[in-house]
Amino acid sequence: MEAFRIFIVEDDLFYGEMLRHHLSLNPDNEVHLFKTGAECLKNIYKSPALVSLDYSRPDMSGLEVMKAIKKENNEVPVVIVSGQDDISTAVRLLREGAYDYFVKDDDVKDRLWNIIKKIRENLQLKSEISYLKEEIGKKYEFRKVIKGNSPAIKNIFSLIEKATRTNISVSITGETGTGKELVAKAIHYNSPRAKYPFVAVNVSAIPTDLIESEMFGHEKGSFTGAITRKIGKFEQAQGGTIFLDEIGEMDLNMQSKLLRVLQERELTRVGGNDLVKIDVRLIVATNRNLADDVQKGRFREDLYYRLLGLPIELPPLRFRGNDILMLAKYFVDDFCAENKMPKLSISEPAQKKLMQYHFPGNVRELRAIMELAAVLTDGEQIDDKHISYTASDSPGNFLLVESTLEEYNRKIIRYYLQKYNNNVLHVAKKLDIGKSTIYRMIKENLL
Amino acid sequence: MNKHDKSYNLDKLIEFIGNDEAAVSSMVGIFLQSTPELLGNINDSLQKSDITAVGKYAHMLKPSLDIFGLDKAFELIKKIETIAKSSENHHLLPDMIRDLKAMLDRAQTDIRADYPAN
Repeated sequence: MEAFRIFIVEDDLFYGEMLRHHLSLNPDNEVHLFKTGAECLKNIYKSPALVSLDYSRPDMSGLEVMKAIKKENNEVPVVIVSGQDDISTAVRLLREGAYDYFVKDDDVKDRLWNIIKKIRENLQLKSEISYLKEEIGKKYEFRKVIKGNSPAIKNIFSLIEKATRTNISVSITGETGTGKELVAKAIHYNSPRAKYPFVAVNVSAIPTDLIESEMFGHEKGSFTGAITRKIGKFEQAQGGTIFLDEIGEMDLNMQSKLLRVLQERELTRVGGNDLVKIDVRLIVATNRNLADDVQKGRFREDLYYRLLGLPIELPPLRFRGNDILMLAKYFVDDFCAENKMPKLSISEPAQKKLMQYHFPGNVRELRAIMELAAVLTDGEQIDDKHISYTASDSPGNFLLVESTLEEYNRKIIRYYLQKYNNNVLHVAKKLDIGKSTIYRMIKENLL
Repeated sequence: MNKHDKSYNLDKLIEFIGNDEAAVSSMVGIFLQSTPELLGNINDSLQKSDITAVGKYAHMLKPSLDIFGLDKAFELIKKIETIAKSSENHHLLPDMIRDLKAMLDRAQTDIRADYPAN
């Protein structure tokens, strides 16, 4: 750890030297003693972690020195040590930004050690936070988070890059599971706003009558149950990015309030009068066709155009070709590493099976499928039998998986057998085929 | 010489700054330098009947007497400070300050004997 630099400003040589020796007992401390405020100010560029300032200075008053220090570097904690026990002076100094105030007669050394300890912890937390923020930033380096080589996804990369350079609103559309929130985070954490918060709100998850106070906050007592003031999501995201997911689910009343906030760049908390300036970047997402909603009168046209900004349309996984295999491999590797399992490979038939599927749940579904497969397999390889689709069993979208006509036939029969409790006679009648056909298929193990 | 016979006691000082010979020696040096200065200031102020200044210098001298284990002198200077900061009994100050000087002269002689480098 870097040395903890302490400045002591003290004209009482005896007292100053005592403190200097005392604080130097901890070899991490680097203690400098100054007889005058002016000397201290000359050295303030060395940015000490703590200044202990004797209040009754001969050259400048302690208050002046403190103000001068704060002017140079507002972050430095200044502790005032005074000869006299004078409450009004103490209060004034604390109000002016002193970190603490104590009288020389008090147990100065214990108090100083405590303060040093606190400040050190504080510094450590600060450096931890900046480290973690950096880590988060790295985590969202979008080429690492959003994977793929298909032209469709490369186009998305270039759009994200464009979005990070400006403050333009971004509207993300795409089927469920295509990674809309990931894209929003990627934009935020790669933009100059990265050091401020990213706040995600799922509009459809908030009851209609609570959404305004969720988004804009409320004042104490503004409605039954509002027992304290609450800061809304927009204020939480101050300086950063707010991500409104499923914006299409917002009701018309809230839409007009949102529009107002976006236009004025300020909001009023529910039940409040004060205007709060808002500086947030807006990213919205929906899996609905908003233009369609506008036409049907379910979505305000003026809000629609304000939100549209840079539209990013995420491709469904089934249009991303070989990305499916690449992602499948990535998810299996990731799952194995996380669960300390040996690496698994994906067999040819399994790969083929994956490529044929239409993935209505997109990347999220692929991930679930691959994690399940990794659990189900016994060997070192994932086979096609480990890959099971739950969604494809529903009859509506069975055409989306490309098959031969014969396979389609089998699927249909299988589905009817399941539906009618394996009553072959009934199924044969329903499908207008001979029951022997079904029996033959069962016998040949085709079903 | 037995420790208890000495007019001073460095336990507090060592507790405060650690058992480091160089540091102790430097504090002793500062003590031997600043104590006569402050005593002189107290006397000068008394001559000029500037009792406020007497209180101020007494206040500055006070911690070092505590740290050097000069218990009697420490008690005395606390009284001097209190009186100087009050509006009564100022007539007691000359005798008290004379006593204080005598105590501190003896202490300094003892300390100088033990730390001849200073």
